This record gives sequence, C-alpha cells and structure tokens, in this order.
Amino acid sequence: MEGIFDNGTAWHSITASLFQGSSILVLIAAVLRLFIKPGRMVQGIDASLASGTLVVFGSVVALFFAVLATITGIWMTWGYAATSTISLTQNKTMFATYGILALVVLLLVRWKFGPGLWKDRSLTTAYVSMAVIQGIAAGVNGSLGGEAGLLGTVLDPVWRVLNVETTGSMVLPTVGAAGLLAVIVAGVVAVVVWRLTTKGGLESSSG
Amino acid sequence: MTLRQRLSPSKRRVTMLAGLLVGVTSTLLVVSAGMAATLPSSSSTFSQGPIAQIVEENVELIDVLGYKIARDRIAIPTDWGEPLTKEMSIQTAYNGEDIWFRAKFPSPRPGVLHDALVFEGGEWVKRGKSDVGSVENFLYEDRFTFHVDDGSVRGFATQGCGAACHEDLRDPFTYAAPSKEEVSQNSYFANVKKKTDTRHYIPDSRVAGEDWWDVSWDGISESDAPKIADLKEQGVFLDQWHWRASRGGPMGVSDDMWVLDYRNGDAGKSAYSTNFDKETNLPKKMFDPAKTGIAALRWEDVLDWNIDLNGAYYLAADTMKDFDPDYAWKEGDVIPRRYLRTPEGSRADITSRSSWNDGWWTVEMRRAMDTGNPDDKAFTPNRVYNIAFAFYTSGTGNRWHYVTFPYTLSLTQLADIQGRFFSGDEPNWTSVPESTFTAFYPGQATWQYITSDEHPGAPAVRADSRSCSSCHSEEQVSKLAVGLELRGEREAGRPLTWVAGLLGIVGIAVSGIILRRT
Repeated sequence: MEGIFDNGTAWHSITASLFQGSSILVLIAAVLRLFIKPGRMVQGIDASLASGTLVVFGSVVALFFAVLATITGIWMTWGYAATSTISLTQNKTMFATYGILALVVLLLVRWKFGPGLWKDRSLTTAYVSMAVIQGIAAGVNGSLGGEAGLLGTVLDPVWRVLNVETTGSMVLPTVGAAGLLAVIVAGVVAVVVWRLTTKGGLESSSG
Repeated sequence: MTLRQRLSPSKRRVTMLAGLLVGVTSTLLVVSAGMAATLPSSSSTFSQGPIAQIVEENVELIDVLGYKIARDRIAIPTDWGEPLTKEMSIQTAYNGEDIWFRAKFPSPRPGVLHDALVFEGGEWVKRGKSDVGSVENFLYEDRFTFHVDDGSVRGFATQGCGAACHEDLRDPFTYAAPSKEEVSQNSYFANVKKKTDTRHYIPDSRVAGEDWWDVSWDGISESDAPKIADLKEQGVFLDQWHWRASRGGPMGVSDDMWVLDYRNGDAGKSAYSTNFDKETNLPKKMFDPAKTGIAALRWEDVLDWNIDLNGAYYLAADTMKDFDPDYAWKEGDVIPRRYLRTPEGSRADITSRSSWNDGWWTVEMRRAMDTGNPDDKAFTPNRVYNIAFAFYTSGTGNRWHYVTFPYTLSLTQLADIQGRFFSGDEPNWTSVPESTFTAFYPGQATWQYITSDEHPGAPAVRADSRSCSSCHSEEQVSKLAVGLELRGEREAGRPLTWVAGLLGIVGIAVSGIILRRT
C-alpha cells in the first residue's frame, strides 16, 4: 500500500506501458497478417511470416507484462482495498482480465493448431478476434490509467462520443451507445470474414 | 452425421458468420444491459422522491453487498438539478486595520429563508429542517463559509476542510453519526461541552489510535479538557467565517466561529434566536404590520419563491413585534422560525454586505485584522495562511455543500490569494485581484475515508505531505465521490458484466475451434 509513494506508480507505469505496447503490436500484426499476401517480400523479409511471428512473440511479451502490471497496479500502486472499491480501478481490473484471457486463449490456439491455423477461416477468425480484443482491452486499460493520473488519453474523444464516464462504472448510458459498439465490432468481424472469403488471406502455410 | 458434416461449405461459412455476429452482438448487449442496470436513480426535478426511491430500491442491495455506505443518507446535487461543481471567486483587501473578503458564488435562487412556522389547521407547524440533500421547499438558508489556518492545524494545509470533516458528525452526515444518547454518555460532551451532537473537529483534538490521523468523535473525555484548552491557547484551531443568508445576512452581520474540539461559536451572543415558545407552542415574534404592512408571509409565496428581497422577509428589530395570538391568523400564514438580534462579543466581529443578482451571490465580509480575541486568527502581513471555502445553495445543509481545495492566502507574500492593500474605509473592488476556484460536491469523502486503505492516496494524507489537488481535479474528485456514494447501485452489475465478457471471449474462441475445417 505504501508503494504509491515508493515508486509503485513508476513500476506500474513501466510494466503497463510494456503490456499495452506489446498488445497493440499484437493487434496490428494480426490484422496485417490477415491482409498481407503470403510470400510478400519486403526488404528481403517475408512480411506475412514476420507478421505471424510478431503476433506470437508480442503475445508472450504482453502476457508477461500484463501479469506484472496487475501485480504492480493492485498491490504496489492502489492497494487491494482501493482497487476493489473504486469504479475506475474496478474497470481497469475488469478490462485487464479480458485482455489477459484473450492473450491466453490466443496463445493456446496458436500452441494447439500451430501456424496452420491461418489456413482455416474459423480458427483465423477466432485467433484474430482474440488479438483485437486483447488490443482493445489494453487500450482501454491504458486510457483509464491516464484518466486516473489526470493525464488524459488519446481515447478521450472516443469516450466523449460514446458518452462514457471513465471515473464511473463504464456504464453505457443509452442503448444507442451499446448498439453503436455492437455495429462497430460486428462490422470489424464482417470485414475479417469478408477478407477471409477472398483468396489472399488464406493461402499462407506458416505463421 | 454431425451438423457440420450435414452443412455444405458455403452454408457453414454463413453459419459461422451469423454465429459470430450473434455471439459478439449478444455479448455486447448483455454487457451493456449489465452496465445499464447499474445506472443511479437520479432526477433533475427536485422533490424528496428521488431520495426516497434510492432508499426503497436499494437498501436490500446494500445489505447483500455489505457496503458500509448508508443509502438513507444519500442525495447528490443532480437530484435537485444542481451540478457537481461550481465556479466561485474571492477577493481580499485590507487597510491595515480591517480585512475584507468578497466572494461570488452561484445560487439558482436567493436562499434567504430558513426554517419557518406555518399556520395550518389552527396550529403553527414547523417547516424546514436540516435533512438529507435539498430540504423540502428549499427552506434552508444559503451560506458561505471558510476556514482560516495559520499553519497550526495538522492536515489542513494539504486536505483543507477535509481535516475537519468526519464520518461521525451529527446526523444525517453519514451512516456513522452517533445518537444523542451515545453523545450524552461521553463525559466530555456531557460535562464540558454540554452538547448532544457532534460537529466539526480537528484530528489533534482527539486521542488518536495507532497514529495521529486515526481519530473518531469519542476519542475525547472530560480529562482532556485541559489539553483542549492548551491547544486553543496555542492557536491550534480553525477560524471559521460563516455568512448566513437568513440568520444574520439581512442585518449585515456574519457568524464568527472556530473549530477545534467542536464547531464552536465565538464568545458572546449570536445574531439569531429561535422564534418559538415550546410552552405555548406559539411564535414569540411576528411581523409588525405597522412597520412592514404584513403580519406574516404567505405559504404560496414561499412555495413560488415570491420573496421581495427589498421588503420584509426576516424578523428583526425594524420589522417585528411581540407575537399576538389574537391576531386574525389565516391558513397559510408564515412566520420565520428565527428572529434576528444584535450579536455581541467576539461573535459579532464580522460584518457583512450581500446581494443576489442573476443567479449569483456577492458577499462581502469585514473584520478587524487583529480582533484581540482568543477565538480569532489575526491577519498579519508577511505571513501565509491556509484557507478553504464552502457554500450551500438550494436549501442544503450538513454535508451537501460545495467545497474547495485548500489554498494559500497572504497579504504580502506570494500566495494563491493575494490581499491588496488600500487606504480608506472601503476597498475599490475593481482594483483588487480576483481569484477564481472550482468548488465541488465532496460526497462522503470524509477524513476517515481519505485516511483509509480504500483511498489510494491515504499514505500522503497520513503523512500530511500532499494536497488532494496533487492527485485530483475538482471535477474528477466530485465524480469519484459520487461514485463511492452510489457504488452499490453502479457496481451491482459488475459480476454479470465481468462474467459475460469473459464468456464472450471464450465463446468466440470455442466457436472458431468447433467450426474449423482443418
């Protein structure tokens, strides 16, 4: 509990930044892997293969730092009593568990099915969905951390559009906001599936 | 043959897509519904209704979750149409003899009426009392107050009025207010203070638990009286300036108080007294028709807020006479339950001038820089003081006020509020710098809360090392405070939200695995 004034905040900032940075990298790499044609060479490197590798590598790093960020956040910065009573920190822990779970599932899918998963639309969709979910969860987490520290975040405009109060319980104030979110995510899924039905994204054999 | 085998590849794709869409959308809607279910009960229309709804709808919920916040003490400014934060400004001037404070703060209506006696069914019935949130019909006066500390009160420079704001102050402050019986059983309150309620006190006035900040109202006994006297003599107390729109304002005086073991009135006599004879159940005073043209106000005018601020709305020497029970009283006649009188002694040190215009109060308070009284803080050049402000509007009392973070004040040194010297008897306010602050609704963020493990910044409060403003903005802290008050309602859907989200993630993955073709 005394950690907040004994560098707890610093440790949490470092670990959380590495977690979120890795998570965003995973998200970007997974989406790129979806769109890059297999065998596409960029400066002598197979971009498709590299993207797939980055997803795995980034996920391992993100998971490691996510656990560290949780430890430093709950026990070194806020204290368990505060974390479990303040809505803002409860939001953070909730989204952290979403992100961690998505990372774990992503790695399990990759471990179970190997690089061949990119050949199957269903597995690919699930795999990329996990990458997207953990990336969004990490982004939300970082944004809430910025709000907690009065720093503001790049997601401020998003919160304003969605009319979400970050110090509150992340309550979606209207069904319209929920519908908007649903449409956005459904749209992303539709794009992913649509892309999967075309040739390019399905022909790679390695990840 | 499995379902997957029965379907053609194209149908499987469609099924997969539809399943994913339905899954994701359903998950989001379930999550949203869980969150929406946690919306607080609130209304922009004033009445006691929203408050009662909160009690009735959620009291069981609180018991289930075990939250310590009592729902029957909850009301937030939005319930009576007020925001969580308000702007205010302060100017300070001095001429070597006297010091002036000029405050401006918003109030939707001039709360110049306090409690009242209404003639109903042949009896005089009391209307208006300190209650949870905005009092019915706004029958509670507007007030402006501030504490001055010269650096002697621990916790004030960093936490401001939070150092004097405890969960166990008199009902209906929070869930922890002691009963009159409990207070009466405390030897200090029974024999020294002769009081049956608890009011503001500073941590140093109590015998602490494990550390100086670990205090409660009953950490004091009769044997501590010499210690309290010593602290008073050493100047370990807060000087409280307290302008009341009804109980003093109309007479051009402001209450003068101090906070140490209790919120004490300065020595002398206050500017108001109770206008009710308990033996006869009749008012003591009434409006003098010969002086004011009326014997009483009318209840419908009070309800419509049809009050002439330049006319007779208060009882004082220039407007009242002894009550005449034989007067032809009519149903709905209203007489203020307080009458004003000339204050005396140190209690009369502060004079005031006030006006309400277009939704804003302007209040000027004037006092000798050094009154020579032991219950006042003297203002001297070259010294820096800590000061924090509060004001009450819309018929609120108790903790339902707006407060500011602590600021520094000095007449000659660099400070947040800079006093301006002038020659003469009246400052020219246009040449006095104006400091603008944001005041916020503090909820139940009491001293006990901010020093508890539930407050992430507790180590700094305990160490008296950082101001609340170093971690919070006014807007943020008010939202956090409301969030704490309503956490039972707002967090009720958390488990469902959490589980739904986790299941949604697993569901997507499992769907992908089940529908795989390889």
